[in-house]
Amino acid sequence: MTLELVDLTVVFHRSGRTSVPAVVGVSLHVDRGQIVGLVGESGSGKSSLGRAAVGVYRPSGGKVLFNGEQVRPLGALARPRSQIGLQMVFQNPFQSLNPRRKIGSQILDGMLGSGIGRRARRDRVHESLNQLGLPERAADRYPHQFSGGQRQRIAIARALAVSPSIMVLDEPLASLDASAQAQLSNTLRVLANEANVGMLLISHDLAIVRHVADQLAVMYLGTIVESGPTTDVWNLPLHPYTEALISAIPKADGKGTLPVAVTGEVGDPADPPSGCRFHPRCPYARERCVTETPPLVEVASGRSVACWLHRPGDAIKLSGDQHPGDLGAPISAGG
Amino acid sequence: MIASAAETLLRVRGLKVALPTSDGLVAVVDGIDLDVMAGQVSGIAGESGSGKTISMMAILGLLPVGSVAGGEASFRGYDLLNNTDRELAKRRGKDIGLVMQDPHSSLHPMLSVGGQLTDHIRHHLRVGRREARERAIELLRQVRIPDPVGSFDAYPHQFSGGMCQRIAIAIALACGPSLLIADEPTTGLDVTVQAGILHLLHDLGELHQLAIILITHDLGVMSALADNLSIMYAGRVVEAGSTSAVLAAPRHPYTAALLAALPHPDRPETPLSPIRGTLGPPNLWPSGCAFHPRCLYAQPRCSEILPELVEVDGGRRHACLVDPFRHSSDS
Amino acid sequence: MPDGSASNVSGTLPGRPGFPGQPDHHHRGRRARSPRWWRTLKSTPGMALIALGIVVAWAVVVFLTPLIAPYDPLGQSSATLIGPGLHHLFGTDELGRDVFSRVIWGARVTIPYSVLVVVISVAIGLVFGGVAGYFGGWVDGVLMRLVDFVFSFPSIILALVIAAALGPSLRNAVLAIVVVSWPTYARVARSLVLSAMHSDFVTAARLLGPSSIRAMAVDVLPNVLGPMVVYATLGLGDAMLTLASLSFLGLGSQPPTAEWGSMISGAEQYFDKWWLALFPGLAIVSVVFALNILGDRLRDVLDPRLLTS
Repeated sequence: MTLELVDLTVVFHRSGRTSVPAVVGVSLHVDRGQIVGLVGESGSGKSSLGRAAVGVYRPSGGKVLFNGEQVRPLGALARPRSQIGLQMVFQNPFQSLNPRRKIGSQILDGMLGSGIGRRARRDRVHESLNQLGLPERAADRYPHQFSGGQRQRIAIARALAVSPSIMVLDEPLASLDASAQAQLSNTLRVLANEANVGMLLISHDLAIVRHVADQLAVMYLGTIVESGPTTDVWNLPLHPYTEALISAIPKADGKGTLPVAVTGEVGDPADPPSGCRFHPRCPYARERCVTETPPLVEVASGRSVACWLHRPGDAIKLSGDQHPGDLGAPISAGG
Repeated sequence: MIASAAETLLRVRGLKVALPTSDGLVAVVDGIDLDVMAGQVSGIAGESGSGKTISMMAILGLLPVGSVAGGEASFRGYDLLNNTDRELAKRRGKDIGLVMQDPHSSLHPMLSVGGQLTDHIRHHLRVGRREARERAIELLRQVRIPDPVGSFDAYPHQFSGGMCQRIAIAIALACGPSLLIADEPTTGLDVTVQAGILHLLHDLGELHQLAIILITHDLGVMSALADNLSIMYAGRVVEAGSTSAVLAAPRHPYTAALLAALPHPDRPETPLSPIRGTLGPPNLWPSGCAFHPRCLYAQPRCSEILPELVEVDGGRRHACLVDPFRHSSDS
Repeated sequence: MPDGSASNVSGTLPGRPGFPGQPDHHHRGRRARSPRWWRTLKSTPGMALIALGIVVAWAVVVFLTPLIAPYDPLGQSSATLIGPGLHHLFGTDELGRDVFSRVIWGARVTIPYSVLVVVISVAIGLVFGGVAGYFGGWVDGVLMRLVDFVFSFPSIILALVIAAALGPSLRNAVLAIVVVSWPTYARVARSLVLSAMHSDFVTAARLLGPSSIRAMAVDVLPNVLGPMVVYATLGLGDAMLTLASLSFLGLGSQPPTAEWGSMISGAEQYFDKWWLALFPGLAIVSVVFALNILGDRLRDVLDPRLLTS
């Protein structure tokens, strides 16, 4: 039971203007019970990737495989039964629930034609709600009667009602306050463990994802620049962008340290920099980075990075408190 | 106009704001004190509904007449609460600058960046077009916009969110104010972009000896920028003091709970601790200490008595009857 | 330590739009601003009730016409051009017919025919717009070009031409007005369908399994019909005015039928006999006014409460 993205490319065509390759050659793998955190900032293409992974967008190149079967993009016909186990939770809890339908009715959508009797369906709805810490009487209410955090949980309950094996969650924490984020993160972790649901958790917030995800994949301008087990990537980032992302997070420790800023801005996905897309902002950039795009290669078991600073086997040489800066000039603060 | 260091620019005492609801007038800010000094960043932290933004709007005279139910607020001795809108308008923009969340909506989409800057400059300062333009370009350079001259004629939609926020900061500082109010200036921006803006605010604050009021729910941002901090909950200040002291060793359970809910980059992965319950709208705020239903240390008297802000060792204040952390802050 | 307890289901009260500090405040409605006097008028407390009362009153008139009108609307008499008085509340016209009765009977013509116009136009518009929005692509292109084609004519002129070409009669007037009205509804329907179909909740529903046809029926249509009803209510007043205008110009109802527009037209030559034109005019104004108030209120009720928190 896996979700497999093989060299996925998603290009958006705009009439009269150049097309935008939002996702370029991404390969990713999510197993049941595993949480893969996909982290990136604006322009990274992570949302487009998420939607292409479930079939909302049609891939322009590469494949999306769910249990070995190619995911059929959403069309006029109903989704194949075999693919209902692949579900998605959207970013905006105010837009992902139909304001004019009761919660219970929306959760029931997944059970049509499954041959489950009415009593059993109702039970299933209540079960999903309870799993997310919501009371059963919520089924008879309308979305506007709930807060953002609750609506997000309802959206997850709806996806859970069909017993998915893999869920793609697009920025599920973004519109929530700190406490609701904490609560939902814990819930996701519990769900992955107990319900054995695999999750592709798309987020811009590396700090929170770190608490939830087993594997981490960092995206920049449409490509994956680094991936590996969360703890390893966090403690020893190999890609300069990952390092920058981690250093940019302000800590609430009262020490007054300013987070590290990266020079420049994310480029335009429609007109990305040549070679390595991060090179204009990278403090370690060399000549090769400008002309040749580094491929994503496995440098140690389970860890991959797309950067000319590393070659397979290199990561073993870095250890402890070393970081990519030791291979080049140190990052300068300010910006 | 550069203020001398340690001058108290903004002084607020017992500010109360009440807004009309279907249940009648409801207090949304219930007596807050504030002292903002030149060259310092004063932070006001709190979540949605805590009253932090409304307090600022009241101070700036942006609320409907009659909303301020009590207290006083003065800027360099000038009474902010009892003057006409016209008088206040002269101060706003010239002596006090404002930067808000979502730069795309605070910039006029149909005017060029340079146009918006020069409009503002010429409105408050009597200068000619050429001088206004020069000032504008210099401001754009100061906020680190690449190619200030070219950007002068560009429009907001051509810039990213981070760049727009820099432009908004330029506009706020255009007339040389001594006080800058930044309300959630980096919320919604990418974390790397946020870092750049924080550096900018820090550097500009030092350069111009600005007093900055930083309003945000993000304690990380607060920690990076603010010298002193007031934590608001349900319209009241529940803890205040220097940022380093408050965040390293909080005395109020709400502050502690907020910090515990955050993912701390240095802590090993443990489950996060949410704060149980929610605050709810102002007309349903609990009696006594408003935090008591959600507090791990609540005692029966917490629902009856409204805790006052008490000062403890050197400048720190908190409002908690139980004071469960008093021993841990002894160091 | 992790919190698994259920949150308070009743959650937050629906926030007042613009109230800062409400965590769920996301939408800030941006509508074109109508004139201030209108806004003040329509939000006067009880205005909606008055409007509803007017509409209900006229509905009663339509159904109980023979019981309300004291005279036969076509009954001529020698009491010509008498001003309003005890026997004839609204006076009489040049043929001695009671104006009051003619206004009452006129309601039977103007109102139902206007409703007919709107119902047919909305139905056609829904089909066109719905199909265009659902299929997109070349289907959308072709259908919308047709809409644009009709739109390119000034509506009153086109209605006039069609009515004149078909021959002056009420039925042809209805046809003419339908032809010029349906494109607006088609455009509105298409845009509503498109925005619903691209919304996250429809995508989420389709991901759960149902075909897009079912998603259309269950998720899209309810979100389309609501606003369409509002537009229809507002359009009713418009249709009424157009029908009255056509009749005024002699292209709608024909004499001796009592219809408000033609009554005003007939009063032209007796302009000092103010009651001949005033009362039918007031009748039109009252209905259109009431419908506009109701339509606006309906829109306010339907949109913000359900779509924002």
